Amino acid sequence: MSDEAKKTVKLTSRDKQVFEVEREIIQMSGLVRDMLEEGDEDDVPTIPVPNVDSKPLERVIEYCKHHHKNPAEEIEKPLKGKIEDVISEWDKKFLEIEQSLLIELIMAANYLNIKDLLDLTCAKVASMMKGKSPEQIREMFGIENDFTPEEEAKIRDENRWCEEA
Amino acid sequence: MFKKSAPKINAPKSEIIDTTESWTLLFTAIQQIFSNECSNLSYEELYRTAYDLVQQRHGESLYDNVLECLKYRVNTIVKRILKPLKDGDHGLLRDVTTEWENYSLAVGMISNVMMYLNRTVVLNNPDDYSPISALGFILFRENAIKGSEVGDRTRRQVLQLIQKERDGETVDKMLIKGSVNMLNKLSCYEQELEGPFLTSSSNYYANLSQSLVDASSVPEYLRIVKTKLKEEAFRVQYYLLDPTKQKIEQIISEEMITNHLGTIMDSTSSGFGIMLRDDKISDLKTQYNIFAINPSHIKELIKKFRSHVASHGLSFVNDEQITKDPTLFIKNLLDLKRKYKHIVKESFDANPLLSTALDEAFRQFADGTVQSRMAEYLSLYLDSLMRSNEQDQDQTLDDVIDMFMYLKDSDVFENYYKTHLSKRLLSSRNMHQTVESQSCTEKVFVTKLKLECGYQFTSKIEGMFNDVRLSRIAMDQFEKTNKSTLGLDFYVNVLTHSFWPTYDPTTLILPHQLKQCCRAFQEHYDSVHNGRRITWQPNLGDGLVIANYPNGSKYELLCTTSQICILDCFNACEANQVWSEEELSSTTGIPIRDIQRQMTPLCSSRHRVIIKDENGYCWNEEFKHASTRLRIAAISTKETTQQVHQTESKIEMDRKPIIEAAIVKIMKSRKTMYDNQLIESVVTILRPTFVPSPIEIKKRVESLVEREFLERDEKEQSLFRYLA
Repeated sequence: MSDEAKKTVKLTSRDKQVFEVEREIIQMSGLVRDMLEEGDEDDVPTIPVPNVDSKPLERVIEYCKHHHKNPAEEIEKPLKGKIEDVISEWDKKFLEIEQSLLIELIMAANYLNIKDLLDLTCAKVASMMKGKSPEQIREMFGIENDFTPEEEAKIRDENRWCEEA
Repeated sequence: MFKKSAPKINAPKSEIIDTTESWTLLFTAIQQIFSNECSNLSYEELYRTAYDLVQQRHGESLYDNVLECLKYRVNTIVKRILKPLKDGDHGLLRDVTTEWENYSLAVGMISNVMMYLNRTVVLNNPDDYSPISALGFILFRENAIKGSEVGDRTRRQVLQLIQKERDGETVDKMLIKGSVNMLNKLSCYEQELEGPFLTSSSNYYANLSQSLVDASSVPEYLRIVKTKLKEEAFRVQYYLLDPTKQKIEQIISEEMITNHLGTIMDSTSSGFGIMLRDDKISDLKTQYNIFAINPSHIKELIKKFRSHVASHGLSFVNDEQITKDPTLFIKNLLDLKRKYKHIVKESFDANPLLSTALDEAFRQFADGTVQSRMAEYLSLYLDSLMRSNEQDQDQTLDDVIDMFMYLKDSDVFENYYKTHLSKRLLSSRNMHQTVESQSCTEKVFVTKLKLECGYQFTSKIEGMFNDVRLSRIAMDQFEKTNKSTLGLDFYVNVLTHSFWPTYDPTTLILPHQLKQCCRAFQEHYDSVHNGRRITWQPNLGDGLVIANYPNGSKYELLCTTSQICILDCFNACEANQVWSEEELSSTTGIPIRDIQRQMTPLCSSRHRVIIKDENGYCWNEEFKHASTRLRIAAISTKETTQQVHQTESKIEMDRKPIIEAAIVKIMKSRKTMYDNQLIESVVTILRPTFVPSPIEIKKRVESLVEREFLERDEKEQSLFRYLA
């Protein structure tokens, strides 16, 4: 029985770092769950995760460690108010990171198929976007404006009612 | 004033992958999965490759490529299956199921690898894109099963095997099951297999039933149907799907029963009626269980059962021979009920609808309409039962109560029952036994009556029993004070007038000794109960006389008090004196017609105590009999036609006030009412006791109008009003 609990899985990040995690914990990831079905029960499987660097991967594992027995409450969509109001203290602290790491976390959660973490991180970005103008958002994310002036005018026109509210 | 620069977030740059390379990798892997050589594949790598393709916006073309792969694969499979056959179509089924199982596994694995597609492309366009596993099944269904000969030939093969099995051969059940499972997974079981199976089964059973129904008796035929139902149930269990069971049952029921219902029910050689007549319990049970599949069959069964019992009962009740002996008649009637009750319980699963039908049938002939003396006969049967003094009559008493409940006019039964009961209670046999033991059966019956009809119905009857008990106590007291002076064993029952049947006043003249006893008792009674009026009815009693003969023999004769008075006449005269009826009548005060009735047992060939000839009655000096103690007193017999008419008119008289009471009760609460409504309401109120005729009710209403309890409305003739 104690063996069951000790069963571990190895994850290898893009920069070749190996993280050993208890199976129970990393089962939060849908991808890991599926992969483990395919493989053997007995070995300690090594799962390469070449899309994800060690820094975000470490954070992901941290999130799973905290939440695997203690699932987060569903964040109401659409997001009302500020994100800080609807998440736990721990999660708040968890999200006090640089924005680039935040984006990497989103990619990692998406790839590894961890719904709660994906929701949390996306909600944070949504909250950051809230109330900003398109120009500000473009600057934030480094997005190029690829509308023609006509297209842009048309869209602004169609959405004028939002701004007036 | 400085503007804080907005935070910059840069999207991570992932490597642009080579789509061709990625796709080649995936394609190769898919082929390996199909050919079962996937042990070297890395799930993670494939998943990641698919993931990257989707991320780089090639999700839709990836999906399309996978679709093409699957389609191509299905077509390959179809070609392989339809190659020239190995051992007849048998090989086909085996091939189909094997190919399907491998394909199904492969699709599962591919679906896992393409999991990211399901979360993105499919999720966003559910109308145009199905999850990969579903896609795999749909392609197989549309292109292999429906879109090629594979489906048809599979179905043909399966149906052929089933037919072989029906003809008695052993077939490979697992093979069929494999095909069924495949069709089930592909959601086309009903359309591709079940429908055709039911159609061919329908034809099969139609032909089978046609050939069987003429060649077999009905019970044999039903047994075969039962076997077939079982066979099909096993078939479904082994290799078809559960919902088919009910459908095939319906088909068998339709082809083998509905189409031949007439024969089964009406065949005069072995049909339903014959089975009922001959108590074929297990055959009837088989029939019932088969019929239970279709509610309209059960309806038909109930209908036929009811009419069969009714016609059996009617012919029984109308049979002159049988109705000659009332006790035997009732006993046979009870046996009839028991017979059918047993059938309902054992063959028809005690179905309450059939119990009701049984009651309805009995009401048609046992309610007193067809056989107008039913109530009287029932009471006579009960009388003989009580007199037989057997123990453990509980079941029989229940059966009697059952029969009583069918009677339309329960007051007629009540009348006869009380008459017979009073004779039983007042007979001297009763005195010599403890009231408790002998009347135990009596009391049990009264309790059952009370349960069925309520306290009202039985209160007077219970009063009768109570009178007998109190008389015992009174006699004990009387004997203490008076025994020595009387010289005879003397017993008086004091009856409360309203509880007992009405007795005509008697003109019987008692012999001197008996008169003295009465006088003594009267004195005693008056002293104990001041102010009560006693009317003597010695004609109801009986007693024991000792006859002494010149040759020294002695006989004890148990006679009615009337007979004793008559015999006493012969005491006070010459031995060979002949008494005429008129003479006897004037001496004893007994009316002439009763003289005959009382004398008949005394002059009968069994114990000719008195000789009767054309002149009159004479003492038989030479009387001999094997036993010394003889019972002369008559027991209850069925009434003569004249007596029946008397009873009928008496009951009519008794009913008049009851009807009037009902009318008054209704009118008092409703104040005004139309005559037809009133008649309806009266009938409803009185139904438990008897069913009054509308004419009689109208007569009573007229009478009440005359006596100014009701009045007619001036304008509307048929409207009545209550007068306070």
